[in-house]
Amino acid sequence: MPTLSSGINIALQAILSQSQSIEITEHNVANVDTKGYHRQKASLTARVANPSVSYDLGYSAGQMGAGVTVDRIQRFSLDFFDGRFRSVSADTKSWEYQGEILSQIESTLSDLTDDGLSPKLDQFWLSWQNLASDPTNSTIRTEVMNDAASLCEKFNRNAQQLVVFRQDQNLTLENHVSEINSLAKSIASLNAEISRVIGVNQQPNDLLDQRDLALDRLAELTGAVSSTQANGEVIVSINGHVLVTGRDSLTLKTEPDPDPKNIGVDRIVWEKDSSVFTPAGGEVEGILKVRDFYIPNQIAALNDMAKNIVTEVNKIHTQGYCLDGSKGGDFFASDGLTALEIKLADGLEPEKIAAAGAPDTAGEVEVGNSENAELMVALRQQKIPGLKNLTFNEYCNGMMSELASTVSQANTNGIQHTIVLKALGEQRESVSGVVLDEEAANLAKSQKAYQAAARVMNAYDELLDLVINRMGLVGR
Amino acid sequence: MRVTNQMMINNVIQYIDEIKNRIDATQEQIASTKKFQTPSDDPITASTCLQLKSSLSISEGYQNTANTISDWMATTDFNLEQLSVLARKASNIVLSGLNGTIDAAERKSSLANEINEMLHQAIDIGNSKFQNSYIFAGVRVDQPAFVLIDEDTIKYQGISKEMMRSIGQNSKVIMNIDGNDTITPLIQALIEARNNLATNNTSDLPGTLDKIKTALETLTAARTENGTRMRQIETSISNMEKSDIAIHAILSSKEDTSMAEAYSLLASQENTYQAVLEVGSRTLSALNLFDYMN
Repeated sequence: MPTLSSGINIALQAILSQSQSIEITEHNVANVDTKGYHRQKASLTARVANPSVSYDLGYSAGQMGAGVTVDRIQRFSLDFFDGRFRSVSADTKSWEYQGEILSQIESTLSDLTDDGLSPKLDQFWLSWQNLASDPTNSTIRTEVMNDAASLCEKFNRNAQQLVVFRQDQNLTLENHVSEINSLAKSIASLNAEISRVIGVNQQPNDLLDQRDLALDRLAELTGAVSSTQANGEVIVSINGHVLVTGRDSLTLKTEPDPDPKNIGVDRIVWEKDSSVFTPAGGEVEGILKVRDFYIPNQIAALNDMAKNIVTEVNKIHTQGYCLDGSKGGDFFASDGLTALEIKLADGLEPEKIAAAGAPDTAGEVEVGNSENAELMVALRQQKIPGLKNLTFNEYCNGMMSELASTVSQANTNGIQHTIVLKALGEQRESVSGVVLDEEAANLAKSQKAYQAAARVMNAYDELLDLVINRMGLVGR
Repeated sequence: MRVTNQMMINNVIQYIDEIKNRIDATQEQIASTKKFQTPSDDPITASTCLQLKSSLSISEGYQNTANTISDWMATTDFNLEQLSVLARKASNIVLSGLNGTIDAAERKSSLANEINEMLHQAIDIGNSKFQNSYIFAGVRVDQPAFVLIDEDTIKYQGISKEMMRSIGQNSKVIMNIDGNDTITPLIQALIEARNNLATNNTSDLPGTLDKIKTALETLTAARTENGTRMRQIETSISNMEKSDIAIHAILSSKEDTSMAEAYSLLASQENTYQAVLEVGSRTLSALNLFDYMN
């Protein structure tokens, strides 16, 4: 049987529900610019109807509605979008980092300026060519030495810079590792909190927002993937290795790489069992790929070139004769066979440059003879077996092209992935983002409902007034 | 699709960013006058440009060589000419020595002295230098080619050898004229002429005259040979210059910014930028429903 008090209760419930709706709208509006925020909505449902006893007694119809209630606070998100978004963002970051570091290397090597390796090489050959035309000219002899020294210095500098570039990544990796560790830890503690809240049948919406943000960042860093359990906890793994399960997280650390090829370079290992960490994408993967693959390739190519230039030039130089008629010695130091160590032979002086070929009569000094210098000039256009049968200049050019196309590929891939990422981000944002117009409309709607409920309350008030103050006053 | 406020703001920022990047790239192309700044901007063209620069450098080397030798040869030519003039004068003097109207004293005092003077001139010319190198001393360019050991003996102390120089990948040229073959006969003929005139040995004078004439022919032949080589070098210099111009043109078309194109591109990008800013400011300041509710 309908009672006055139950009517007041329905009005009260309506007022409370609508004001909660308004508060949630406020929450949305307040977080319109908050990163990672998913919009929320009060999901209103009709309360469970009272099976009316009065029906049996014949006073009224049964199953009368009992008003409205906020069933749950809904959070707009789609797990499918999150997974796709994170996997693409891992790839994007990996390419972006590769492109960024490689571009830095490219601009330090400055191949297109006069300071590039190829122009230095040209200059070296040119001064030999000048010497061949005028072998007694001491200015040209000094120039040959200077240009050779400057070529050596360019080799040294390039190799040095590449080595330093590898070592410079240590600090970045260390920062990344500590960020990964703290993210893993916060995901583990969020897991605990979320499963507790879900356990008491509430919605941990804002905690979920925080955890999603952490998972987004973790994917950007390492390509980590996550799967959600029935209790609301997520399991996070990187390349098949578990990082977070439930309330526990593993930690990573950096340590000096024991490999002799990687002196001064750190590697990332799992703290628990010291096994090597391999990222599945993301910034860390980008850094490691450049550091452990592209840069060593460039260094190896530089070394090959330095080694061949030392042996080929020395082979010719030692066959020649100096200005004083003595046999030529080494031109480059024979123990400097890497790009880092290449240098002129000790004691090489302008007059010790062996420009002359063998004299017709042994012992004669043929100062105007430049046969050996001509051989050196011819070396410029010779195919060198140790350099894939390319000339020095072609090989050098090939090194530059390889780096250039790697950079341009990384940049192009970065841009393409960014476009996909943006589209996915927009899909995600479209589901979970806050639209102010919508909130304004919802606010108006709730406000009107609230006002109406208040009016209903008023009506009951008047009814009660009637019952209490004016009924049964007959004859008073 | 729901369009959220954040989406609109992000897009505005992104569009502004994109157009600014494009303007920056165009400005860089104009300021540096180069189409690309790093090899990765255009790997294939960058590599081609390096190759072209290398071939320019090779050609520069050959041209340096050719110019040096060409100067050397011009000096050689000038000196051979001087020697020819000397030889002609000497043959005239010997001819006048054969004249019966001149007596022994005059032959000795005036004619022999004059020839002796010429002998020393010839030796000086034989020892002439180009940039510190004795041009007739063969490959021993650091020592004078001829020394007069005593009044009657001339010694050639150079090393007769051809000095080959490359003026192209497969083209070599001999730069020197051998002093011993070319100049020694003249010097010896002059010594003989001076001695015969001094000793009034008129019977041997016709033989000496023939020797001087032969020496003159040798000189002329050497000059002709030298001239031929000079022409060869001139042709190859002018060929190299022509091909350099062609290479420079290709290089420029590959790496240089076309200013007209770049400026018009910049102008259109600036217009786009203005439009993006205009639209962006409207998007950002757009009213929403809250502004209309009361």
